[in-house]
Amino acid sequence: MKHARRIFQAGSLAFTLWAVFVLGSNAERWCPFGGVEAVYTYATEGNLVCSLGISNFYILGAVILTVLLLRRAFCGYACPIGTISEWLGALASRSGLRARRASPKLDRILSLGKYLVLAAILAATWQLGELVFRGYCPAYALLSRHGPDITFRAYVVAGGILVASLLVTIPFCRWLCPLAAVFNPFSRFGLGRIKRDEAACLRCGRCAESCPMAIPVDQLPQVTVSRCLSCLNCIYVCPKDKQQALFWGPPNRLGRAWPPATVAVVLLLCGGAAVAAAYLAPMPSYVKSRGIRPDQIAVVELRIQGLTCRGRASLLVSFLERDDMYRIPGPSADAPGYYRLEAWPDPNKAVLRVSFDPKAADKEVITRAIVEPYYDMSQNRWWMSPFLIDDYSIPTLGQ
Amino acid sequence: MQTKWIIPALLAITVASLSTVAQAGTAAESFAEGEKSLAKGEFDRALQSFAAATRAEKGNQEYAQHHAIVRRVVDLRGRLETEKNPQRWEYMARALRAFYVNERIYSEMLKLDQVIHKRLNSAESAAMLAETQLAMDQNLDAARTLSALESDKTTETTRLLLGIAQTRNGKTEEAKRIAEQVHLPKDADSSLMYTAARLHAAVGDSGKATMLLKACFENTLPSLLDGFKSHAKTCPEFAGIATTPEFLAVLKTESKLPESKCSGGSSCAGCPMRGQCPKSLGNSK
Repeated sequence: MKHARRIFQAGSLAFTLWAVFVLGSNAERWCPFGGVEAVYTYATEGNLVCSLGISNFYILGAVILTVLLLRRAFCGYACPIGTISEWLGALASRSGLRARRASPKLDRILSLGKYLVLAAILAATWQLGELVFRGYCPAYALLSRHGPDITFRAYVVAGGILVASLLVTIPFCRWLCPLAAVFNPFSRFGLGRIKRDEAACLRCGRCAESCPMAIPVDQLPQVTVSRCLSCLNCIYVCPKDKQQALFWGPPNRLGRAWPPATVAVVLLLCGGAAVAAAYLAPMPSYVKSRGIRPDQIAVVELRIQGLTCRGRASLLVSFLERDDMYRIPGPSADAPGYYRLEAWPDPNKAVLRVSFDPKAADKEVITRAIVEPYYDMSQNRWWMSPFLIDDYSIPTLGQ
Repeated sequence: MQTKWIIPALLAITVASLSTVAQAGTAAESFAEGEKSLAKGEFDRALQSFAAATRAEKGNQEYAQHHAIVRRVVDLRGRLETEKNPQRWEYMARALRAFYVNERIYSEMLKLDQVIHKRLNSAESAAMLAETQLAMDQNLDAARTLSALESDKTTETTRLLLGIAQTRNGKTEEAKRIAEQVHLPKDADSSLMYTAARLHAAVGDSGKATMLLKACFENTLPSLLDGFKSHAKTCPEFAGIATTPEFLAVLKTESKLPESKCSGGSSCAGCPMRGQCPKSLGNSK
């Protein structure tokens, strides 16, 4: 069982690499931190930051659930950066490079770094509505297809973290990871914990020495600190010649010890549930409503090319709100012919659902509003539509 | 057994490839025909050619966009004469004019500007008409259009354009006096700065002309900058300084305004994904 975590880490990393490089999946759409970055714009505007999807929320929810059950087991078992960083540290150690340990005081000070990083990212992302951190994100640099959107800065940060991992045990995870800063408040209330039998403990200190997060396991009756990765290293190194001193499981009143495989099972179940939810309940990642809900509503669903991201969805709205297409009688002559727009932007074919008042518009008008060029009088310029709708071509005049 | 399928398969592939190449060739020819017709102001023929190009090569977005906009222009031209609603009429007229400006169809622009000016009789409509007249080298007409404006209707733009027209008409002293009298507001837009730069270049103040031109380029949206630069290269007022190092350096000025290629606003200007977006997105004409 000692190597079970390494096997899980390897499997998780291999799965991620296969999904990104073989299947061509967008790694960002499955990043739990993306959910954190997107929450503000989704709550205030009903749409997601460019290039993120609703899957980010599902995966964030699933990971927070694992944190509530297993503390930061996600970091210790599934996070690719954690895995790579930890393996580099182990490699360095085998090569004779002894990892340095910060003093507890320095460790505490450095640990505050992740909260500063989180605050800076959230402030910038929420203010600008863009993934500002991506230009520096080591995970994106290592786990994307290295397209033109990868900045040199991201490679520098990733390289710095890799080098630092050879010298210090998982420095990014301990001191800088903004996702860890999000997890910690939840992890504090995590169900699973390491419990120490005072009577059986030899106080040899091996458990504390083996802890990658520098938790003084040998001095605590039970480990409830938020940074615990549930790696169970402490249990594996605990001398068993006399009597087992360390156990892992729920609080004492809730029962006995858990088998180590519990971690893998919970992580797989939660991850699988998030993926299933993303496919079975694909909430739109861009929503916009306008005006008062009409008495009657008609809905048209279109498959559309060119609706790649939030910026494009904003452009689509400006086409849909054009003032040269609709002829609506009555006082609301300037109102657009739609009431609500729901979109699932996608680099390939996106889905768009438009709800509209059948008295004000019809499918033909909605479609033409999206694909036909539009003259914007305020800017005195024509906008060409970059959108193509399946099975629709601009009719010739007179049709 | 297997070899008997190879030759038909190869033949089928060859025929399909040749047909695709031929179609692409036809599409390109139709598109070129359309552009020629458009330049001559033959809109119906241009529309037919663009429609043929789009049909021949369905996935080509450039063809589809040309077809779409010319179709829209033909539609607007047809409706302009009968439109009763003044606001809608103005919208249609301005839309048509913006298209003619982009395509440099001056003959149509002149006709339209005359109608617009007759109907609106404003400083703006006079400026538009005078600009077109200047572009068509009808400098006396341009001066007449601007001079006919009542004094309370004149603006910086009309005064600057009058100065340009008078320079071309040989009345340089009057143009110099206008150049000295016009004071640009602090929030002058790029088009006003550009017109001022033209006048200063025309009256020989190359230093002020290049300074204003630089400020104009810096305050122009990136998507509109090429249009200004290309006009500056061929503009008669800049002909005297076009080969100077200062002017050539100014032509390299970049815009200082943020602009999103996706939404047309500034919100996506810093989007790290913008490099992956297709080139055609958010194209404006």
